[in-house]
Amino acid sequence: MQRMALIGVDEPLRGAVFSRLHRVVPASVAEANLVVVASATQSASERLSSARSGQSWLVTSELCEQPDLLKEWEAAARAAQVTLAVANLERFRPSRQLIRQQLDSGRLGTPVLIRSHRWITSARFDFQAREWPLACLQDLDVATWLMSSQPTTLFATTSQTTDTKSPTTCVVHAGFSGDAMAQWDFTLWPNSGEPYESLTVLGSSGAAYSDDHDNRQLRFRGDQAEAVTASEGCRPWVNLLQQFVDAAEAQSDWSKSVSDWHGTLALSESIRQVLRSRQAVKEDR
Amino acid sequence: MSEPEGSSVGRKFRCAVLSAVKHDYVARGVVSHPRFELVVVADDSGVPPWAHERNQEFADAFQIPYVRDVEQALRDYAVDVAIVSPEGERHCDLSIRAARLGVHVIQDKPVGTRLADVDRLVETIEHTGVKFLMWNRNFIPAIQQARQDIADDSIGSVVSVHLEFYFAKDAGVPKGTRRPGYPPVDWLAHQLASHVDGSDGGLGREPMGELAIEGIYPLGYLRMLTGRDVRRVFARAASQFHQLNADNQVEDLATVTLELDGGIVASLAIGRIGAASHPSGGVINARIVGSRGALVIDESRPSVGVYYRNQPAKEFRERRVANENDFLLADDFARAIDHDGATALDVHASRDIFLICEAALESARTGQAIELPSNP
Repeated sequence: MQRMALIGVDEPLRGAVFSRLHRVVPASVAEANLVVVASATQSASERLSSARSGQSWLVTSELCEQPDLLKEWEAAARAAQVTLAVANLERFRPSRQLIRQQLDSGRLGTPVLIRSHRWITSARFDFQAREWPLACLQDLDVATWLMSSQPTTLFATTSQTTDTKSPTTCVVHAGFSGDAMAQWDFTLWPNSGEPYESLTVLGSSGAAYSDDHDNRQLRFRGDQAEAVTASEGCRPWVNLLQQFVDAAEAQSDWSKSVSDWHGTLALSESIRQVLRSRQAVKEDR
Repeated sequence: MSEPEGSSVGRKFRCAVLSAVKHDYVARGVVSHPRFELVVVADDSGVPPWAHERNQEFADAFQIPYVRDVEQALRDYAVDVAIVSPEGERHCDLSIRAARLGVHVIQDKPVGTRLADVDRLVETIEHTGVKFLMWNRNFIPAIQQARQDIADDSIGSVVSVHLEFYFAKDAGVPKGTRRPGYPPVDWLAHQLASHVDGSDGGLGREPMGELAIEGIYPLGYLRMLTGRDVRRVFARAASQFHQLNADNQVEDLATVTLELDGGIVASLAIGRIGAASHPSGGVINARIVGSRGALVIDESRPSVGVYYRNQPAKEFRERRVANENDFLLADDFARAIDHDGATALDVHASRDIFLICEAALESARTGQAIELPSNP
């Protein structure tokens, strides 16, 4: 039985998640062999000051959205003699897990196009600064994970508007080895409202489509029908934590998750450069 | 652009089908409108026997004559409208010859295969004053609804447009299945052989990729929905699915990022992605972000799902209904002739789209974003 400390996930989600996990019990950081951190209320060194040598620590990718932050976590983990993993929760959504499973099974063939749309509302981002790469990180990571490689060519451009109340769109466009390609549409909305997302993966022998347009229910309670999101619920957390538990039992190495996230951060820096230069670049990774 | 009330009153337009060797859907689409009637099929006497055979079959189906002389047919049958649907490389030539005789032109895609031919077509249409319509999908109900929403200012001014245009059709054997030592798949031979089940695309001697063949449709949407010119493109293109495309070095998948006037950006993914990749012929949709709202449009709606025991694998499960694209395109053309107005996709717009496709393919070759020239 594994003992897990889960920091930064509050009730009722916390209870819902633990009730669904196998072979693990909640524990304090001092008692745990697995520690999962999803809260940025403390720095990496502060958080790891209570670590015990030999523990496995996992931090969510939101806590390392800058290279310096990731390096800080790595240094603190080394000093505390714990192993470190980074997890992008987006990868663990049931929809994304299913697509990855279908690719791994070979049914879809080789991935040749990943196309995603994400329209984000104002909650997280500084719309004056238009923090594109930051807004894109999770989806960039999912795409490179599904492709199992990093881009070889990169282009990006943004819509231009003088109205700060208008949304802004950034299109990121990448080429991969084998002439595979990816195209992301990120749109930031400077107001409240529901987000929208869509992910299509075309393989050489099949395709997978996951789209909010399809995954909506209709609610009628007035003049106009409402489209209500069919949520994936707490399953992303359950998938992530169960896989972390399973990996601990199997003594699997999750260190690749850290190098993967380094790759995603490097990709976001390349996008920043392309947006500045307005020129496509060839990547050498 | 016309309103969809219909322009059914007025004289009938006598139509010649100038080569029915490719798809006959354009001619059939035009005569879905009661003001258009087919009176003759015509082609040059020197076209290959298979072309004569197809022309004759089409003429027989409509019980009209087949004449092996284009100019004679246009004169003798007092033709008003030429419906031009030969091999891709003959599009401009037949359209130009019809226009020179004062005959209006409805042409199948693509507008041409070489810029010089397209420029000659533009010059001739301008000089003769006849009407020209590139057959397109702009009147599909879902796209018209989006156009109306934008016109009604429901979402404010357009900020970005994202188009997906996947035809889930095969084009012969999958890529990678040609046995070592076998010769490359011949483009024209494949197109001729696959005509029987309608899976031919890009008929002609010259191989054409999916962007060149089908790009007119989504780029026609983009033009109609934004009313803006494209200024710069970046693209990737590859043959990923079909041996035919790989052997002939033309793309069956392309992605294009576009910068338009007015600070608008757009993205397009287009491909012939294989029949296995969708149960109902493919995914075609538009996402439009406006300054005050957004639209997510599935081009196939309205539709009805039909499923039954022993259903053929290739039969679409979701059937489109209430699609009046053909009638409305023809109606738009009739209105343009009646009132000397513009058509839904005229020769200048067609040339612009041709240039966008050419620039996209150049970008895919060079890996660089390509600027498009400004219109005069």
